[in-house]
Amino acid sequence: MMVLIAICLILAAASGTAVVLTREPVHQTIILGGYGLVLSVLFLLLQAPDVALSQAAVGGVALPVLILLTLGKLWREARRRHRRAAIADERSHGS
Amino acid sequence: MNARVNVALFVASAAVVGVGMLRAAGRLPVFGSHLTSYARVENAAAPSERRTPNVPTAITFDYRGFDTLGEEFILFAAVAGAARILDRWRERGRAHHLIEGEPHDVPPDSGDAVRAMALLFGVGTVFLGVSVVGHGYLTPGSGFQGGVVISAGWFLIYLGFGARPFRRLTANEPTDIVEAAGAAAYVFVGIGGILAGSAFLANVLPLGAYGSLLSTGTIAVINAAVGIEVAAGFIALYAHTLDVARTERLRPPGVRR
Repeated sequence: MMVLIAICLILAAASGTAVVLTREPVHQTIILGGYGLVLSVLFLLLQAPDVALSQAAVGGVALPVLILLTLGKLWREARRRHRRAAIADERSHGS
Repeated sequence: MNARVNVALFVASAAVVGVGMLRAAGRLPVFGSHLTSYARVENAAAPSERRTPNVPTAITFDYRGFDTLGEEFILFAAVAGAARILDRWRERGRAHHLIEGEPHDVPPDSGDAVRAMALLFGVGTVFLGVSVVGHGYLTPGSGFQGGVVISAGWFLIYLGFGARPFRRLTANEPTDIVEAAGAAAYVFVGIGGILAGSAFLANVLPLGAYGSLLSTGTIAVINAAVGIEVAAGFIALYAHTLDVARTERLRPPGVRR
């Protein structure tokens, strides 16, 4: 049991580092989900199944959903502003 | 400060903290060997006094039920605040409309297989969540965990079918009413304790047989109320965030021209 807990702790440290080192937001969200899964297994090994359930549900579903929806909104706004700026550019240069 | 000074600073402080943590970890008792007195009391009291094998649930909904009431209202207030802020994107009259049919709205290749799988797994997950909530005082997990699982299953409908069917299933009014009803039920159970002549949130209902579904008195009722509230709260959160992602505004709120 202690060996399993030690392995899981090392995995948690490794996946946490992986989350920090991932730069692309969407990729980071997926890695965050994996980190949440490792934490959930760690809590299960530490004999806290309630906490493990909470972590799996929130870290696997709620957090990625909110992050990805917000990212989608931000990118849409950026794309629209970019498009509007491009159209304004065309008009001012064409006239 | 340039990068090398930063890295050097990090290595130095990490070394100090790392050595300290290793020394502290070496002095920890073996995992599971040292039960605190509170743990011993709870392990003895909860199964016999409250007829439940799930001691954390007995602690959260009975022995420390007042704290859980506060925590549930933290979630309630957070969802209410987020919904209020996100709704401002939709309130200001003419300058916004919902984007229909854009690639963002419905998965591009949403064929029959995707919809079938979403329905299968979505409904299955909702049932799993209901089972976790219903057996909250018998098996691991309780109202909160089951509620989040229910909301996750519900959200799978969006992933398979798109935003419009999902929003039709999670209209703002009914979801808010259900969430408020769950939160209010918790308070009313507490008031019921006072009306029965005991303290607020006292366990005044019949306790039943150990291990059966009809046991643990008020813990069962509070468990169901929390499950409903958390599920509806998270669904409301997803729905409002999804609306903001789908809404086109010519001008963000608060910006004046």
